[in-house]
Amino acid sequence: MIRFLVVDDSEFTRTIHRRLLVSEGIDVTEADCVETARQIAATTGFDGLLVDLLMPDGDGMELVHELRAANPELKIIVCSSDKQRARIHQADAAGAIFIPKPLRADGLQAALSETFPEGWSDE
Amino acid sequence: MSEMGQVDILTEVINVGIGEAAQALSELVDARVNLTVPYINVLKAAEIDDFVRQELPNWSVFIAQQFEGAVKGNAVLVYSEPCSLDLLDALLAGAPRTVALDAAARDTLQEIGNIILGACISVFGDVLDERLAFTIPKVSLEASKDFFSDLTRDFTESGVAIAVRSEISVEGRAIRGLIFVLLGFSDFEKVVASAKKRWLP
Repeated sequence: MIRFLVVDDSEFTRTIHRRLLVSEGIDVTEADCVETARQIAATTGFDGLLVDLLMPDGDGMELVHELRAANPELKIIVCSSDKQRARIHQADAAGAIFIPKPLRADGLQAALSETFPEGWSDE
Repeated sequence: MSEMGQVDILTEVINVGIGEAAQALSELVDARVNLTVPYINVLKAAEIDDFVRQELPNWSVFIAQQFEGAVKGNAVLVYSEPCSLDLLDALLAGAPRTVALDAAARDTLQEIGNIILGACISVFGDVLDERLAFTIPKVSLEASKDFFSDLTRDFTESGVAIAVRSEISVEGRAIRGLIFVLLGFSDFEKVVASAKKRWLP
């Protein structure tokens, strides 16, 4: 089963993201800030990262760069309300897919299709 | 699943609105805009002025826009005078620098307010799936002692209001402003209920 780390300071948004990923047959671990995500990622392997940008303890792009450096195969989706061109370019340059908030099922499915072209569910 | 906090949900809704506002401002000044996580306070209507003034020791340009429809409230963009002049300079790149907030400058600030605040407030219409009507923003170069509580007078039937504060700054320039969104408590609950219904899968 594919495993995703979901990082967002909002419980509401984590709930949206968890429900959507679980409905796609993906296992989810949640982190409510950048630092917690670092700690979890240091001890647990993931196939994908779904991360917010604007968080109280840091910018999600820091995490994108760190986890990308540690695992070049990691699939990364950035989901943020900050959809300025500069931010989308940052995500793109880091090999991540950008999706504006709020995340919808069709947006997630399109991103998963792009990041996992061979499919992402065991079913 | 634990019960999600209403403030957390409104923060996410406002985040989307502030993101729209940032994108609008970024395109106006052709530079990246930095944001802070919105800070939400549930206040008695009479406390709003004190809350806002704690944040505003040196701010003097207030651009206020009222919205009305399924929910009713006010959004206010606040700058210091030097920041307003820098903002106009960034917008009118190549033109002689604006040195005073005369009628033409205030007219431009009104339009900036219309674009930025309209982008921010539109999220409520999207969440509620109803069109909101906006007034033309009003630019004030000073705010009376009761400026903010006056803005909430029409919609604080419960005596309680929600004040949301977010900071928005332009990278590479000394342009920093604050956005306040003021909502009545019943409308706050309406927005939260609708966000849960529409956004949660």
